[in-house]
Amino acid sequence: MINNKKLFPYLLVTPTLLLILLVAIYPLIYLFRSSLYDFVLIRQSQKVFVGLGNYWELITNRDFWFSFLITLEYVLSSLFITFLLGFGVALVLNEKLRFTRIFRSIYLLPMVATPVIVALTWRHIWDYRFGIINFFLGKLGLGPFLWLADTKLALVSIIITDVWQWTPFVILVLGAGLAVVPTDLYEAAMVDGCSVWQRFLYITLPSMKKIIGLTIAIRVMDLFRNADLVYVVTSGGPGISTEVLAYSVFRKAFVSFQIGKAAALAIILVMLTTIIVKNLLDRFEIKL
Amino acid sequence: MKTIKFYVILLLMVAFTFSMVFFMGINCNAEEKKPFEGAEITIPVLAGPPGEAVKELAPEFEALSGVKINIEILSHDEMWKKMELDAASGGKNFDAYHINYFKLDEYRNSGAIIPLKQYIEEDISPYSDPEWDDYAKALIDAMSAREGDYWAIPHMGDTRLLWYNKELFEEAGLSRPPDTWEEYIEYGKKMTKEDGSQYGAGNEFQKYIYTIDMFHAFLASFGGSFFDENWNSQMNSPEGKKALQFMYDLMHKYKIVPPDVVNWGHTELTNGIVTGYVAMVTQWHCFIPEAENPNSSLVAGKLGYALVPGVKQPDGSIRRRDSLGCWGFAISSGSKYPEATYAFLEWLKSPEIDVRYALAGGTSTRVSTNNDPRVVKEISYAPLIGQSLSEVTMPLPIIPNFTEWSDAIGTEIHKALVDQLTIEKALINCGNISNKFMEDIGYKK
Repeated sequence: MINNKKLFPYLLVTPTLLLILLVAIYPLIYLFRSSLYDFVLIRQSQKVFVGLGNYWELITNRDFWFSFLITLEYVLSSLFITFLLGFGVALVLNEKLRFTRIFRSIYLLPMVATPVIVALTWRHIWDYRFGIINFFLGKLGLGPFLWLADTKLALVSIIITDVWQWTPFVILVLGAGLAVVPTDLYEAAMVDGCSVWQRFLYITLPSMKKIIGLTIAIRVMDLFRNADLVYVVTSGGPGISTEVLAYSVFRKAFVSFQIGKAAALAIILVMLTTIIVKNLLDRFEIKL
Repeated sequence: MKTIKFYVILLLMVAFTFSMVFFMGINCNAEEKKPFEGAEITIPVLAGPPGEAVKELAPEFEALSGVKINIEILSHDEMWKKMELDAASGGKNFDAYHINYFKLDEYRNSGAIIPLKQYIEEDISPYSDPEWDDYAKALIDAMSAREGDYWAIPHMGDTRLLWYNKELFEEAGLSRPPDTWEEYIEYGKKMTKEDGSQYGAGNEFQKYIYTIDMFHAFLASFGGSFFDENWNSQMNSPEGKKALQFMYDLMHKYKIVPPDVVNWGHTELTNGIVTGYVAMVTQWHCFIPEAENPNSSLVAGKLGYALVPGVKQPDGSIRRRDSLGCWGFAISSGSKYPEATYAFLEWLKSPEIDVRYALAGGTSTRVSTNNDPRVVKEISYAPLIGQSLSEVTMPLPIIPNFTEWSDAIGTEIHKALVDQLTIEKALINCGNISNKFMEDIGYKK
């Protein structure tokens, strides 16, 4: 009876563990194994074991480091803007002003749209000749700008598109976090004469620490693995100005079918994301 | 009474059995088994008028031969992915692959396709003869012939022609299309408006295959090539520099093409001319039906067609060169019905059916089809296609790792076009990458 009681919790989690093993752990092991071989999908019988050769080829390639920097630029910029905007809007919505109820029902729309459709739509919005942004800028006597054909502007276009789609997610999560901060803390602070800024700094932020950390961690993971936006909008161009690492993995795996090299790059990307997210969670004292 | 009942029932049973046998016999005699009865094949084709034309013709062969044919119409990217996955997993889903000539060796070397000589020599198809003489030799060499055998049936022959807007040419006082690249620039300048509402020319400089294809066209035009006979890269040659410089100058020096052509592929280029935004383009002829459709084109009936411009030679002739576009059908090594598949494909490409295919929107590889009076009557530029396929087009390098190589080279060229690299550096990189690729596959010693 005692043994059964001890064993029972493990029996309950076994199916989930098996599922995780099947859909997460095993593919990861297979991915790592694939990265040790040089082979093209159509020539699997001609697989050659190269050990860490694929990794060496990647890290000695200048374009890999350029992609790495572009990825960091994309992740940090998008994260910073979505966080600032999202938190700002969440704070306003929390004040329960007029029209916040109406706004609540529409701000989620970008987030629920299919990412590929969003990307296709924005590709047309950014279009040099027919895009609506150049149209309105033209009315103000500005442009037209080569949003997708200029090496300096293309990444900006990608970032803006990403911010448009995922700021609602930040609003949603941080809004939920704000809703559970005890209001009596604010009342006590007001009685003590604290300013708005002081209340925000010493009550709101500390109370929201864990939820802020989690939001940032989820956004970082999403940004690092985002390939579809780049695929649809710029195909990594012009040149390699928007070739983020995730898109490079996609291209190597599903266009050139170089499975070994794609797997090596994917492993590097997974490790990078894991290290960054783990550090973030530790910093925000989130224990999962 | 019981006995009578018994004999009546017995008589009825005998009559029933007799009639069943009799009528079955009639049916068997009346309808002989068709040669490929019971076979079912699946063939992918590219989306667009050529693919629709194949789907339209397939039921006729089904009725003739008894084979069931599933035509899967797929977009370019979708088709490549499905075919590669199928080839990698033993070829169970497709009985034939619809491949470019530059991918033929990848499929051949991996054992994904089978040679055709056995079917040609055995003359297994009762409905047609292969008639290989009716294809341009360059086409057969690129699309099919390897090591004494044939590996694919040339199906779609594509070539770039110069499309020009006759109205815009008239407005600019131009009476004929340009013959040389110098004239192309001169004409382009005349038809480019300062406010950016109209450009003299358009090109496909989108990343990867488009860029490398256009580079190839200019490289060949200026007398260069990607490799020499020993597979040493020739990209960093005077001709290579001239070709890449020419592409760069169209955008940055002469400014006769829209500034966003670095994002232009087939769709954008066609849109550019059918909306009257650009006055002339060098574009694949398979898109002409779209451009001549009044429902989707503002210039239907206003376009003229000519061979692509070239380079004037010392003897006064003009060397015109451009990339070959050719797709063929190769039979999957995993096909359960290779004879039925071959028979259908050979029938599809037989001269009379090929004419009907061309009239239904297909792009033919046969010389006879492009010169057939019925085709010429409907498709006035058909003789130009034949002439271009025979005299102008040159294949891209046909190597086993073409996709990987072209991706890498295409990226370097694109970087030069958008000022991420100088032209010299881009070509040095292209040379180094190409030489390494050729060493890795054992072509270059």
